[in-house]
Amino acid sequence: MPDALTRRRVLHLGILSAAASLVAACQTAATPAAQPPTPAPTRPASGGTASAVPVASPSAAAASAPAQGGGILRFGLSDEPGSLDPHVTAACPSVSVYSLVYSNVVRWTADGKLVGDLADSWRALDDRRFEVKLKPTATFHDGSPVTAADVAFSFNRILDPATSAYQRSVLQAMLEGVQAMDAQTAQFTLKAPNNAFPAVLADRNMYIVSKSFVESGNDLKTRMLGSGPFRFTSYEPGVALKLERYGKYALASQPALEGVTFTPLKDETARMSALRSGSVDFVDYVPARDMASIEKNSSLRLYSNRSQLGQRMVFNLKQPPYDNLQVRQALNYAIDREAIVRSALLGRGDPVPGSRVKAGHWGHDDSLASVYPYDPAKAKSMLAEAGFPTGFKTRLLTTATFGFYKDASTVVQANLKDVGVDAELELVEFATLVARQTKGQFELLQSFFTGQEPGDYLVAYGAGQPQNFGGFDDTGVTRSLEDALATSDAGRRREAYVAAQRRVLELAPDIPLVFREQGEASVAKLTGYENLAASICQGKTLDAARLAH
Amino acid sequence: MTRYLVGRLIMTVAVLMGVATITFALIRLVPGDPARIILSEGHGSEEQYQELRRRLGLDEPIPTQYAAWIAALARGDLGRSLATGRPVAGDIVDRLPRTLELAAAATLTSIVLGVPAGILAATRRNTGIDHVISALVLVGLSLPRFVTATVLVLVLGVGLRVLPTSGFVNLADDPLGHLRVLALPTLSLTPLMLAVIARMTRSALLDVLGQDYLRTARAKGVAGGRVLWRHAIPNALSPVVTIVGLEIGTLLGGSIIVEAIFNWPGISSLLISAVDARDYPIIQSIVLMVAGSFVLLNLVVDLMNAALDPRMTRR
Repeated sequence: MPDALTRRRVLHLGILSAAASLVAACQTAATPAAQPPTPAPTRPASGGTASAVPVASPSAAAASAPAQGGGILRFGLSDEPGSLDPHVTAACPSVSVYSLVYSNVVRWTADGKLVGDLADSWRALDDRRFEVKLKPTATFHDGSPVTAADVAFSFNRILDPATSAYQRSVLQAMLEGVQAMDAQTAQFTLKAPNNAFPAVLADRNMYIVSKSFVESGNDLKTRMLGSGPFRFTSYEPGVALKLERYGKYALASQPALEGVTFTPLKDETARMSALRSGSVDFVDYVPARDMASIEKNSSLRLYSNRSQLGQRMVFNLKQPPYDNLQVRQALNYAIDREAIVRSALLGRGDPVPGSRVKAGHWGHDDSLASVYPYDPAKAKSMLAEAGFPTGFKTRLLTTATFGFYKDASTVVQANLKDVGVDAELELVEFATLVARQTKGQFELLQSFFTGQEPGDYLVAYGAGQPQNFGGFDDTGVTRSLEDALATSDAGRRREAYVAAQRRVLELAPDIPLVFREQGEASVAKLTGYENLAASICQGKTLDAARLAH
Repeated sequence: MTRYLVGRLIMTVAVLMGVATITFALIRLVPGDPARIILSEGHGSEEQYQELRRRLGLDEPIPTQYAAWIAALARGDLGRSLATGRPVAGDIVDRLPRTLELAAAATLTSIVLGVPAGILAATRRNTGIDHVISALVLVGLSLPRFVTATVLVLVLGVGLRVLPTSGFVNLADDPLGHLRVLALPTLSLTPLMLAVIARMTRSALLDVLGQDYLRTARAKGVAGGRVLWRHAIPNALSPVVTIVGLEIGTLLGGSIIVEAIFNWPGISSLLISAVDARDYPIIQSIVLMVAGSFVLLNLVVDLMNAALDPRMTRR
């Protein structure tokens, strides 16, 4: 997994946030261990209206409908959950488990609204302080109430360097502290005004753990105690992780499923065979080559979306010839992105010849959609102008660990050859690729991108940011992105963001290639599950699913 | 004899030390950093990275890490997984029996089917049965295990849906379910070993059947069945026993791919994920354990030979 694992993301109706995090996740289905770094700065809600305003949550609205026999779902999980610490592991397979066991303060609904999860309501006291009232019905799986002290404890745990929490750097940048005012009231104090802060609390790994459970010596790496719809019963690595329905769950309607058994099936062929042979009912990360056959199979169902999970080629800007702008632009014209979609993704994806921000998103600008159409003749003449009339030799660092990386690299290699550039493929194992990309030991790098929010751009193109592997450094881009993140004026934000996208495309620090389709599959008798374009990891919607008999 | 024994034991410890050292060095020579991999899930600031390295003890100089590891080994402590924090010994104890079970099931199936097939072919030499068996043996020898496994998944698992392709359950929880899950991986490992055993049985038996003492036995009127079962087969089996021992070694290798295909939670899948994550303590422990068991097996064989043939100790 290269970057791995996440799934869909937020963005949908204006949601955002979390995006960066996803990145990582989405990418590869397969391997969990190594995800690419994913920083996730938080950003304001899209749609322009960052609703900083307290929205009363439809909270416990649906207090437990009687749930009847929904069966036990056997979930073929694309990776071993490994450590169970909900603040540390951000890979999608783990998040699929956590999201059923733990609760956030607030959560996204399927249609992109922010609602209370543990929170009954929340409001801004002033531009730097938020107050959250917890639902009195909220209980942990040991029966104890969820209190503001648990909320404060959880966020302090994320901030503690010893935890190595996934969200630590995000929170540390914006959160001054959390205080329990009384049992039901928690107050968040920010370092700077941020009207989108509540959305941050809905992100993955922002889970509320039990203070007394942790303080009495339980290790969160091996045991889970949350307040979500399902309760942890057992975990045997390599074999199964089992959850059962929490009978006293009252934050939303009771799940229909009686339990979920996760079986780690890392190998994608094994995972798909398990689904087809009836060994499991549900799988995540369906490989592109299996999507069509699942759609045709009446006993199976495919849930997928055109994600914002994409692939790009990163230039090492510190070395010739890629320190030459004209060379970088020329190579952008040299790539046949349609061919990559056809051969590497079997048609399950979209070419990205320009900005990755899709039509329909508030930051999309039509003039940036196709800045670099496939034009080998133009590429050749630009290379000649740049002083490489006969091309040059280069090395392309990629991995065979993920077929979609290797296959895309092969197409790129052929395209480059057509314009005289002789690229040697360095096919390394994924962990090696991660190590070398971090150190900048490459000429041309097969890499990923994810998300379409300003925060996602900042992570990839800000100086010193975790996904900025090629050493790109442009103050104009950084300033525009920071403006877009800071302002609450929708018009100004769009202007700043479009300017940043345009400048990135002009300076061409990478070659955007394609978006990949992302999906899960289940047996047809599973109903009620929804693939949320607005969420990265899909486990959560299983609380509404049931298995027909 | 005592001197020989002591000498061999010293050699064994030296070999194990060598294996430990080479494993330790090799895995660190491979690019990749466990802390980076763990953090690459997160936002991984440089500060977090340094903190994690410090906590995992990866910031120590390599010789210090090596000394600490050897010292822990001497106390019987295999350490903890870098990725999950679980004790390595516990993970190995959970998983090793499953790999051994798979190997034992495949070995047993191969012997039960392979020896009779070899006997049948030898005693019906040059008949239709012999030709059929020899042809099947050739197929068994030529089929790579990953092909066998994939075909079995497609036919018995996905097509006919008679056997599960994954979904391990513990023997204690559900004995029948356990045997069903065991079936396909066992069948995948079996054909190659079965073919080797059948062929060896056939040729060893043919060898023995041509010996003078059997002609003598028949000449003095011993019944045909008794000649075969009492005189020929027991003598023919010793090379078969040797080959079974050798094949068990290759079975452990073959189980890596079979465990991956059927998601069998044995030692190989643990090793593979540990390599992906550069989880040094797990990799080192498994390699050391596998190497150690080969060395110990060798030692046992040598000691048995020494007991059987005292000349061996006089070198």
